[in-house]
Amino acid sequence: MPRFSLTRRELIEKCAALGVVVTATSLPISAIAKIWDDSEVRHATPPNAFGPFYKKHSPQARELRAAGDPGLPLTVTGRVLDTRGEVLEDAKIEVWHADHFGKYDIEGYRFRAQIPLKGKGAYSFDSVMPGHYPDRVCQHVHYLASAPGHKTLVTQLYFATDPVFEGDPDKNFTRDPLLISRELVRPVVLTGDPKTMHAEVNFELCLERL
Amino acid sequence: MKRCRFSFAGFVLAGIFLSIPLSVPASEPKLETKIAVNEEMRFTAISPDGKIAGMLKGNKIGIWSIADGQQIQMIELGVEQPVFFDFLDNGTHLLVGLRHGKIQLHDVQTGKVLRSLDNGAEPRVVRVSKDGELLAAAGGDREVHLWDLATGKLAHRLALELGGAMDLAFSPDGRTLAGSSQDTNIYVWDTKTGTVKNVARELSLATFGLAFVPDGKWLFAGSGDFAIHVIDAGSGKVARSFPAQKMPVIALAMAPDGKSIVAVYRDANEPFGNTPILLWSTETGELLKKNNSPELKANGCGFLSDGRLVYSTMNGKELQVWSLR
Repeated sequence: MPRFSLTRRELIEKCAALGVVVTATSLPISAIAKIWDDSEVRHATPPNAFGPFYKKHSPQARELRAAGDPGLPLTVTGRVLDTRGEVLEDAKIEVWHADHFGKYDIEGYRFRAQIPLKGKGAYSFDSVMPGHYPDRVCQHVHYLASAPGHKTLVTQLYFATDPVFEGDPDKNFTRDPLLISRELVRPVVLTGDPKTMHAEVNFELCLERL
Repeated sequence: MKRCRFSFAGFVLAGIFLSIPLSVPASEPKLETKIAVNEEMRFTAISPDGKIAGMLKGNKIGIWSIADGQQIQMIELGVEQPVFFDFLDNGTHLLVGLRHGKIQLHDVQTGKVLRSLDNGAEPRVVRVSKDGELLAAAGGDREVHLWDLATGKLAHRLALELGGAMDLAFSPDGRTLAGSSQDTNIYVWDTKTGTVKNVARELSLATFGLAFVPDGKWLFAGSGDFAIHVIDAGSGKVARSFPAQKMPVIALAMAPDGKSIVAVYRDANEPFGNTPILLWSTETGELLKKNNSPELKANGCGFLSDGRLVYSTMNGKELQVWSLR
């Protein structure tokens, strides 16, 4: 079903044309629209390297973790928005990462998936905390996110609990030369006792309009 | 030397899988020379005439004579860190890509910079067309820069869809440039117009090495899916594939006569692991030679202009150059 969607600017201009909005100031409608736009601008998620381990045709899944997989269970949640804060319900997200031992599955599709959105731009997936790939410094999850009318986002999620940061990602995030934005290092909430520990991370994706 | 480029990083096709018996006995490598260097160097290049070797570590490139093991030159790049280097013109010149975007041409004997291009983006892969007129450079961003070396001007910015370039290869006539991307596609451009001629989209994993046959009709792609694929350069379609091995192909080099191609394999998850070297017939897909020793860790491999297949290894602080017969 085609989505009915107006940008904020289009909405304000249409309202003005219909007389719904009456300007009480000397500002033109375009200036008012710009003020509204600017007041709600979100920062686009910083891009990050694509890396050499992407594999096409990964399956649709939210459960990347299988019974018995070694490693700290991990749940990642988030939403996909645009820079005006509007939810992108028709976005597509694909993730891939190394296993607990830092190895990528080249022959199959372990820890690779296209994540179906849950509605209102929300997504989540269950996996394990990635290990350290031998030639990379930090644990990371690769993301490929796209939505009609928006720039495709290629980025990576990093974890504040990564031992590389020694508890201080603000100071130490540059230890990975590929990690160019502190913003990509997300807090990790650890729940449960030591035997049932589980990591939870929220990673909101913000795409730029074309 | 038509050198295999070694990268840190490194499906089943609709093509025809050749049923090649892989029982070719391991070929006997011959140690051609040993060169004592004062530290362990990670990457190596050998000049096309086989007379000099270059080694890279940190921000310096050392150049040694293979005949007598004497050091010819040590090029110190100061704060600039090289991310690419290779010999040009039978070893009289050295092409160096620097992390901050410059591409320099050095005189090997004097070490002096003869020419410098400001590529802007990091030039992790640099290739020069056979006639010396064009230079292509690419790095982690989604563009390949194509330079006209006669004018020193940027001729075209060639776009990749999602990822950065993994490898580049000019067709022997220089009219076509192929580039493999981290997004797994292989782009084929017209170098004169800068337009895309076709995009090979069939591969599911990235291609680490590219090489054209001498007539430019076929493009060989060494893939992360453990196989070499033969692509019709005119259509971008995979025509056939060589039998998959147990590791990704991390580098390819075409023999000067185009009759054989050497592939270096390495476990993508073991960047410091062993590197089997296999020589394939381009015409029949037959496996001609192999060295799959578990101890083999090559840091350079390719053909000399006389057709010899050589590779190099480091043994502590000693560079060893081997030929595969």
